[in-house]
Amino acid sequence: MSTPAWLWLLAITLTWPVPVLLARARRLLTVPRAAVVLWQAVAVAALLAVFGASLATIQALVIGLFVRNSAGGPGLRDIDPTGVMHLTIAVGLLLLTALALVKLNYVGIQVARRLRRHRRRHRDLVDLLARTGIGDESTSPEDVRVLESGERAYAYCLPGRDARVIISDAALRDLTPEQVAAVIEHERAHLRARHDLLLEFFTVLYEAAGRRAGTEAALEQSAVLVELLADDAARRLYGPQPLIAALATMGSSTPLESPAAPKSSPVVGRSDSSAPDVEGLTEVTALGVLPRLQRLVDAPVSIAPRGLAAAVYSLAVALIAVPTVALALPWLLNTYESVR
Amino acid sequence: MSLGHLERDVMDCLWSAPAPMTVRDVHAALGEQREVAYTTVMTVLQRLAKKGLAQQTKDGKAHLYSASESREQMAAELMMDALGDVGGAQARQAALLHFVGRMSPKETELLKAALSGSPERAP
Repeated sequence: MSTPAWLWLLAITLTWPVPVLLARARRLLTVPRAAVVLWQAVAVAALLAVFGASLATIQALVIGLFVRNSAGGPGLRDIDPTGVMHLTIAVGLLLLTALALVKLNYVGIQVARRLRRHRRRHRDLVDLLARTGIGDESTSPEDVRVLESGERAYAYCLPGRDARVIISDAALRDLTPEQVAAVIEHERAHLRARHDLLLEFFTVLYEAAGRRAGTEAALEQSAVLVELLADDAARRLYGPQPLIAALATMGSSTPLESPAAPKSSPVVGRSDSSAPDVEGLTEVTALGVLPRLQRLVDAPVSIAPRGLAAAVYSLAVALIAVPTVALALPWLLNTYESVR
Repeated sequence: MSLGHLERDVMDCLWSAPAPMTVRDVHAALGEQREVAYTTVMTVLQRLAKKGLAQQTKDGKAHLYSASESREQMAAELMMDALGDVGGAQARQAALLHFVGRMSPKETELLKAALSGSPERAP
């Protein structure tokens, strides 16, 4: 097979079946750090493959045209219909590629602006309306704000410059001080590791690629994985119990809207399973609560399945390195030779 | 006195005032409680206007300031926003990262089952 054909095959594989299959691989959830790296590698490799395939196709078409032309003598009259067709395809593909690049950049800027504007407004309101500090401790943390919001117990973080951790007063009431500390540590782990940037990256891909199954799987899985990582950080300090209890308390507090229509993701919705129990389980998994719970209950932080993590890291490196060495480099060298 | 605290106090002034205030008005109102420089009050008001929390209008030579929305409106917006993307849409909107989304009753049930000592039931 030619280089363009290989690259197209790679591009298609990496944008659709691979993400969908990876999303189903539950074992990946046992090595969240490596899995996050793998998802990023898949995304970067897919982008490289798509743009590489386009460029390689254009180059092959144009080179073919050039050779045919110089063999048949100069002049446009000598170009046969096949040549015209090839040129048209090449120009069309070039335009499409340029368009795709522009769209990716445009969506990237849009998403970044939207998120930053949203967060700035939210932070302004929080600083104006929420109170600082937990309880009456004089040593209460600087970055934590308490929001009075009736009966709903919740906590979240507001990433970016001047990051904040926000917890509702209902959560302070319903959780023990240790549970509160574990929840805050969980949120701080998000902020420290800039998990928001990772999610932003996958949000951009998801929106730029027209919200397809592959990018959706990547976005949802990375959202679950960062929760697992933040849980890991929190239980290193507080152990799993406070987190499990906080999950149960805050996850199951009175719903704001009608619980009759739970928002389930399209990916989950599509896998219509006949057994209601199994369907229920996938819903929880989509929210990431059950994988978190499972990890908190079953897996001590200190004992990570090392072999699996190493394998996943290697796979991530291979996804970038193998196509580059096996396809891109020979192609570039060939092109260089033929141009010279 | 941090700028953040001062912003809250200035907003409280604007909220409780029946009509738009000049910098001098706000300065006077604040001065009853503590000493703040006139220029500081002006800076804070300009910052609040830039953030869209206060509105600046011109009446002849004087700049008038008022709260752009009532305290209740802002509190409602903040709460809607804080709760808004709890749930399934959590992954779509990475603006805020929640500790845990809202679960449906069925999910809660499963969670409780998992908590009551049978984590093996999980897939």
